Amino acid sequence: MKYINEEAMPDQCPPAVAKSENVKDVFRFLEKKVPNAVDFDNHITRNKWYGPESNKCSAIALSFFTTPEKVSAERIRIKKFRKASVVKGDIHEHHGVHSISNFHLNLWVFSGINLFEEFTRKEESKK
Amino acid sequence: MISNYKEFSDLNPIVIFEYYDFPMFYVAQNSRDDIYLNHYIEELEDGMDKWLTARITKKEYKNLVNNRVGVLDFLNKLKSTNRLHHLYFNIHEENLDNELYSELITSDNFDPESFPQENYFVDYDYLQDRPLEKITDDITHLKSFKLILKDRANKHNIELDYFNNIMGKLQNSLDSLVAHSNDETLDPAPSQSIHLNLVALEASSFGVSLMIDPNSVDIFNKSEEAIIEFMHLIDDVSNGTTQNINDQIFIDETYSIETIKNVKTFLKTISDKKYSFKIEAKDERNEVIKNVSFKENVYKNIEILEKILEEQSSEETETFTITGNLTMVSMQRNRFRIEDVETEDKEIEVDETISGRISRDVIKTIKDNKLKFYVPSKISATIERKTIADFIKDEYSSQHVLIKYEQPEESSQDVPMLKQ
Repeated sequence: MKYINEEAMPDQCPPAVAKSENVKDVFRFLEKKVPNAVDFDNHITRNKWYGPESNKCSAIALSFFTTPEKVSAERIRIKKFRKASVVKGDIHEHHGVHSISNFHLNLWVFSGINLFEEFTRKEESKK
Repeated sequence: MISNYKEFSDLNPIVIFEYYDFPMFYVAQNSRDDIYLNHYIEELEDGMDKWLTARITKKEYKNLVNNRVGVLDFLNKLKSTNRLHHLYFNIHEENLDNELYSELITSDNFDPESFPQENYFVDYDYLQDRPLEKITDDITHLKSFKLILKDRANKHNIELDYFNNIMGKLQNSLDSLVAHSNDETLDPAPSQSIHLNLVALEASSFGVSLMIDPNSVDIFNKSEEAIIEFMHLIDDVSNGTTQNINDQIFIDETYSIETIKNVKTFLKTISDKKYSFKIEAKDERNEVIKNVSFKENVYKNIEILEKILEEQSSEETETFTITGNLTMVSMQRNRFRIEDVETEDKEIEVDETISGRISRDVIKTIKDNKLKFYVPSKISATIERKTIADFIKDEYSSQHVLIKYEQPEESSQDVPMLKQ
């Protein structure tokens, strides 16, 4: 299996435009104050609602915002994000493939990658 | 309103404004073409996702996407018109047929934090990966339109009387659309009617080409809009889309009841003689930008308009007390007139002069007790007002009946009027 949840992937998923590249400084909202493994699980793994079936491919990907301004704008728009903590990290080409539109990045994670560790390791090294 | 999990899950998004792991703010359609706005709030502690949701009209959807209304302003409008609901979605629910709990948002359960903190315009559609920008005017520039009438025999001529009748009803329909849009724009010199010029008569079937009078002043494009809205309404009647017509009257306020009445009369005039018609609207390059038709197989859909008119028809009786000057009484005809009318009841609107009938009971009391009216003289009276608005029969009336009265016994102007 190349991707996490590959068995659930519909045809043409990830989309052809998705690429495997490094992206510096991406932001992911957290459920609690500090990062937990569950923060890096998609809604399919967590068995949570992800929209209609047509959204399944996107739902397998994890969302990130690519600028702090977009994070601030989302805090104003959606209550869930208003006071939520954010973890900042980098995406490396070995993490998966991604596509970006309007400061939103969808990452289809490669099997065997533990993004929680990847992001928190970086957090710790920063301290 | 969305009633169960399956209905919510089966909604087909047509635009996604906010996306993060799942669509958080989007507009979606169900299989009946109802349009819903869904806006995520937060996950509650017990595993419930809380959403804002409302059924919106096509016009509202367009206004949102085309940046003519901001998100906070729109949510506030939905809330103040009692159309916005909370939806509680249990993320652990497995039986999709189970009921989805929703509640109307009122001042008691409203959490201001659930709304965006400031007004903003939607800027991106994550469904089609496209930026969204302000589009102020989506009316294609209509220059002329052709009305093509056809009878069962497809004759190439038409009775002049009937033709004039149809054109009069068409003019009435368009005029009422123009008059209604005057109420909503701040046009300093509103025109009460649409100015159309007849450009050509075409004998094949029986076609009439009309264009908006180029000399008529119409800075708000109301004539163009009226023709397009008229065509939309014909389309909705032909397609039997009742909800869309109701939305246009009661939410978007595109059509007045007067418009519905006039269009119904127009369509009745067509169907009574077993005619059908087609309307083609053309732009400046003479290209057809919209066409609609009304054929014999959809005559029954006129009922949609009749039902609306019937529901809007009313008969109301109010009783209220007034003071004024009694200036005329005719015991023979049971009539009265009171001028300089005033009432203390602030919820009642009264005309300056009220005239009407004297009730039988009052007449009897006067006769039995040998009382008299003093005219002209002050009077305090209880009036029963019956207001009838029958949009089907096109009858409107307001009848007043004097059911009780009191007059000061002494008055310098007293003239006894009660004579048997």
